[in-house]
Amino acid sequence: MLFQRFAATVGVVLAISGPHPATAAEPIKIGEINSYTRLPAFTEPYRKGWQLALDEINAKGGVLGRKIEMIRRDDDGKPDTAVKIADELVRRDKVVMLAGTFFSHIGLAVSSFAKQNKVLFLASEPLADSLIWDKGNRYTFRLRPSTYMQAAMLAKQAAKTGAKKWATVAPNYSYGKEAVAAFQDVLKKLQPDVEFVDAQWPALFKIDAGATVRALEAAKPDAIYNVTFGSDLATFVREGNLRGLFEKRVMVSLLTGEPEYLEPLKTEAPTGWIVTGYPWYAIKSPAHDKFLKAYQARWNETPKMGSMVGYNTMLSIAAVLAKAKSTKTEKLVDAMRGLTLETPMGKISYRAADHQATMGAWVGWTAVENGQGFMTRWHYVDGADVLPSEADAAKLRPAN
Amino acid sequence: MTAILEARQLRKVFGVTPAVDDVDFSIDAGTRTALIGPNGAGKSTLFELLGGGLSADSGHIAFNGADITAWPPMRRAQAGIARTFQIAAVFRSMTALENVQTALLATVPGGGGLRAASSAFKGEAEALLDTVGIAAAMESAVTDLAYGDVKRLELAMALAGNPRLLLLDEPTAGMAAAERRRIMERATGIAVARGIALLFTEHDMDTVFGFADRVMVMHEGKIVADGAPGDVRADPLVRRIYLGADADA
Amino acid sequence: MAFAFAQFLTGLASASWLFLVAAGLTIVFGVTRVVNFAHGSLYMLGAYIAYSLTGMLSLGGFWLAVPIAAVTVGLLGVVLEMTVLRRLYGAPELFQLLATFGVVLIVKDVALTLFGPVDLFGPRAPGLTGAVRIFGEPIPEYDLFMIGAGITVLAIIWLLFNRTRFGILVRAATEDAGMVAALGVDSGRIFTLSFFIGSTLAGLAGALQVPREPVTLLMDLNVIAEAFVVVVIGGMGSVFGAFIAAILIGQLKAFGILVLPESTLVVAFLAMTVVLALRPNGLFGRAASGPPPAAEIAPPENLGRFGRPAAIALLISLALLPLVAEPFILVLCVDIMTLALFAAGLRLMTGPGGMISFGHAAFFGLGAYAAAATAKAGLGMVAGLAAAPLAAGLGAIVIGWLCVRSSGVYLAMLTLAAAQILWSAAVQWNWLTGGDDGVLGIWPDRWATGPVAYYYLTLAVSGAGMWLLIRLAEAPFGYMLRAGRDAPARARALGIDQRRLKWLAFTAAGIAAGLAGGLAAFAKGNVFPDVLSIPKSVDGLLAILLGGLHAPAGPVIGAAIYAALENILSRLDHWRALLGLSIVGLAVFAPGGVGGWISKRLRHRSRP
Ligand SMILES: Nc1ncnc2c1ncn2[C@@H]1O[C@H](COP(=O)(O)OP(=O)(O)OP(=O)(O)O)[C@@H](O)[C@H]1O
Ligand SMILES: [Mg+2]
Repeated sequence: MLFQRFAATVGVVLAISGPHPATAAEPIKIGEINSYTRLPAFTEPYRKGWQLALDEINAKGGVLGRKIEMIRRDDDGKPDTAVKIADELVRRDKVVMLAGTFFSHIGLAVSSFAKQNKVLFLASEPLADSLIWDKGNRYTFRLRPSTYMQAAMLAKQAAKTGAKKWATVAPNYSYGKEAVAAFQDVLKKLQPDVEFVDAQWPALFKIDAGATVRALEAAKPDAIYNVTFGSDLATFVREGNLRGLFEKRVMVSLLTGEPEYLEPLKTEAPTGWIVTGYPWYAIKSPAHDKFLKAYQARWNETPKMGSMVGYNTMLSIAAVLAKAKSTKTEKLVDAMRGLTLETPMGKISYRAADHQATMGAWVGWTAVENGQGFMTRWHYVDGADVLPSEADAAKLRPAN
Repeated sequence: MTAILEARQLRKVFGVTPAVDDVDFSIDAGTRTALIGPNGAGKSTLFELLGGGLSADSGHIAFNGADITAWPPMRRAQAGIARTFQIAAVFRSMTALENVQTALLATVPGGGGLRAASSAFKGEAEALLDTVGIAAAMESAVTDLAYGDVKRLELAMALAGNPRLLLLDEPTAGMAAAERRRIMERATGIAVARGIALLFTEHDMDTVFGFADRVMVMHEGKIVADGAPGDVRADPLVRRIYLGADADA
Repeated sequence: MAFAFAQFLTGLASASWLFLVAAGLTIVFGVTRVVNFAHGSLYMLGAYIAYSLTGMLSLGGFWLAVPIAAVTVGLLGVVLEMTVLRRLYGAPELFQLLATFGVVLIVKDVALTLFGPVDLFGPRAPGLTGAVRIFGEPIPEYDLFMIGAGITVLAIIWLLFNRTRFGILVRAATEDAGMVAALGVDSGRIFTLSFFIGSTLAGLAGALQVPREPVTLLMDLNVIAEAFVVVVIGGMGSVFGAFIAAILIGQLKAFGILVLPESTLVVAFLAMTVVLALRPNGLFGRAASGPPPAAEIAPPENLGRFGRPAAIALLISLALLPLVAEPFILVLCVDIMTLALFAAGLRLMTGPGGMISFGHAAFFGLGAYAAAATAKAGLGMVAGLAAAPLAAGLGAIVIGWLCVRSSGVYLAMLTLAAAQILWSAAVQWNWLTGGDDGVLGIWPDRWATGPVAYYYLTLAVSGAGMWLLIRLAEAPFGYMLRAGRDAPARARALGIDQRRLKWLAFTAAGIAAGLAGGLAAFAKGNVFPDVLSIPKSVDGLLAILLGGLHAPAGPVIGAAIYAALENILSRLDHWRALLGLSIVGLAVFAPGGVGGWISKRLRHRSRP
């Protein structure tokens, strides 16, 4: 009786996971894993981005004469689930490569799986430097500019302000720690006499903003480097505005210019902060115009940074398949190394030495108009300009 | 005769009213003592103090020559004080047999390893259930037992540890007269046979005077009369405060 | 001095908010004894509704939106009470907890559908948009308003409970529900009303938070743990206790951040642990009287005479499975078996032991990290799998010693605190754990690599673990453990050392969880702080709910169903709501779980 029950359960699992019958013109299957239910605010624009690119690519006949099929799965924000799904995608669905992930630790989990199981993984969004450096491996590549790259862009700009006494505020997890360390590192190289007088580490998405703002104020810094984002950022900005924390201080802030984070601030959006971001409303290039029009037509909303990342992820997948002329993992990996492609942001390439794409970011100042924050006086920083040289980067990676 | 239990100046106060008020008495081995008194007199509270469920505000308890005032209930049980509760307490997720087996297992130091408990002490448990007269209901879940049978079961569990002193709080509450007599006959029979000192509370006077060889009367936390059943029955104070209008019954 | 005073006011403003959330929770618990995990969801709904209304109402704006939102949430709370919770009064806390957790999942999906995924940041409160200077320090006007609101609500609750007929009845019902019923008062109405009050307070707290922070889908779970901490420190059911506890936490955070900024992660849980170590029922709480409700429904434990053949048949078929199943099924089965082992330990302490744990992941995580550290030290997989239960067992001995002094929800909260503190340590101590980035590349020894080999290894190890746990439950140990759960006073009077038995059960459960954690670490190839997180603990609880708390085979059945359910549902867009609905349905209509149902059938047949 007990066994029958169990057998029935297993039977159900078998039934839903049994192999599908093969058809003649089979599409190329790609496995895509992301935290869709956990962080819909960031992953939905991303999904819309790659969906748009996917439709465009398939409308033109796909690659290698086959359509591309994305199998999209939700990891629920859990690395264990992500690894299990990766297993299922590879072993059962027979996808040719994996892509996606948002949280760094999930990216790392899937990367480790990719290495163990020898399957190509294109990490689209996770920012951790370790993903391609000290925990890098042959099978993992990353698209988005890493924590180090974005922090370095800001540090370069910060060095020009001449501020000496710095305080930092960052969420208390590895992204925050890494972003602070990278910023301090680069800034000290550029300006050896800077001093870091205080570091605040609020719990992620649980900032106690009043107390944090007061603690920063107590340290009396000339400038503050902020890494909080999302709801923490909004709470922090309002509390800081109310208590005059930002008055007469240089403010430097990571990712704050991305529409994901700037738009929800509305009238509370800060002015005069130096930020990295994505000023989609002001970029004038034919490639970007085309993307912007298509995106707005398809989804009836403006793009976020995630949309761009999603779009470029899909373009990269199509490009690597076309270059490799194969769906075999080792061929794909070889093709990924040094792969160059055109995107709405311009030309990007995946460096052979450390598997990091040279996709860059925009650096500028925040401003507010009509109750809405935006970026002004911005310039585009190519990722290649803030990355260590390929020779130096290669040394950061473990010998595989 | 030697006293197996001695209580000296025992006192327990709830809020401002003393439930047990400087009580002194001793119980001799092998005797059968009834503790009577109107509702709220403090009988159950005194039992809790003796069993260790409550700790006394002041006073001392000696059992078998040792001062047990500060001992937890567990240790008192291991020393030989067994009891039943006014509201019968048994293990509701088990059968009657398993209840008694568990009571027997509790007497084994260290428990008994990974051996299946269902076959441990089966014979002894059946014998105990037979002693209290519910061997037929052995396999029943206790939730299916009649209340009287639950009280019998509790008695069997209390006997499992081979106690020297048995405290029974209203062992016959809620029973018909014939059943009362039967269970008290069994209980006193076992006590006499095994030399167990018996202390029980009871509201039914036929039971009290039929089975006790000594009666203590409690009133408002104090023991107001103590002696042979005949003497206590005749005590005018007792007649007034306790037996009241029914004194002649 | 001025600085310290301003810091004090800042702490007080957070404390007021915390009190508003916790007050509703503690009132609901005090009256109905329901542990309402969905309180955070009501709080979140209050914020969403107030935000939306602020945009829609041209007249009155935010200030009108607040009371409307609060009352709307109060009414939603009544709906929740009448449809779900009413059926769970008197059920074991575990079922209430899981059912309300199901509600959390449903509300989250509904909120996502209604309000969208994007954070919604409301405007500042009209009339209170600036800051005033107190001793030269800027203090936001709204902070001062929040402080006033907290004190006002405390005063209103006091008046309500001490000066109105309803309040006096509520207090009487808290003391003795049967007594109130005997007086001819419908206690159901009192329960509903107090639920209304509790939910309204949750809605109010959420609505008042709109000018302070954005409304997000993470608000519900972000607030609930802290609210529980406040309720527990204050003593469950004590509104005044919650007030004091909120101030304590608020101030500890406000001043702690100046000394050690990282402390915000753990300060609340550390405070709770200290308070409960000194006062096992919180500052103003009273010990629960009478046996735990679990005793009311706990059915017999054994499988009857079909148990052994069924187990053997299961083992044989699992041993043969690799001959027919594709590799991914084996990977899934490894997950199921580790979850089953984790849940089997948890079941021993929760079922026969009568102790609920909200933080059993603590031991899973200890095991996983111990295995990872051992493997990284180059000692190999076998040593890792030995280190895992050892480390978890040692942890369980220490944590268990503290926990078994409390009972019920207090005990559960202590386990949660232990898990959260360990989680924070795992996040902070990079040198040991790799922080959030975890420990990567912990793969099995060569002989156990590959789905089939690792499947057999897991089958052998977890099978042996579960066999031991089942034996323990059927041994004298298990009987005496149940005795202590069913009738503590009776057990004591028989000389049973209940606290020691509970401690042992706690440790056994910890060891099993640690072993499961070790197996999982080598199966996944990595360990992250997630292994210590609340969702991991919930996985185990859900498995025993599905399988049946009082069925020895429950963990196996529950783990299998849970894994299958997750695998199927996670492909759907609204899978969380569907999972939530299944959980609520099970808790309400089939509290015995699937395993309980089978056990009952088997027992009936095995009767001669
Ligand atoms: N836990 C308690 N807290 C407060 N008061 C108590 C408690 N237990 C008993 N009392 C009070 O102490 C007094 C003695 O109660 P007790 O139960 O000992 O009486 P009793 O003689 O056993 O009565 P009955 O014949 O009804 O069983 C009563 O006034 C009772 O209300
Ligand atoms: Mg009594």
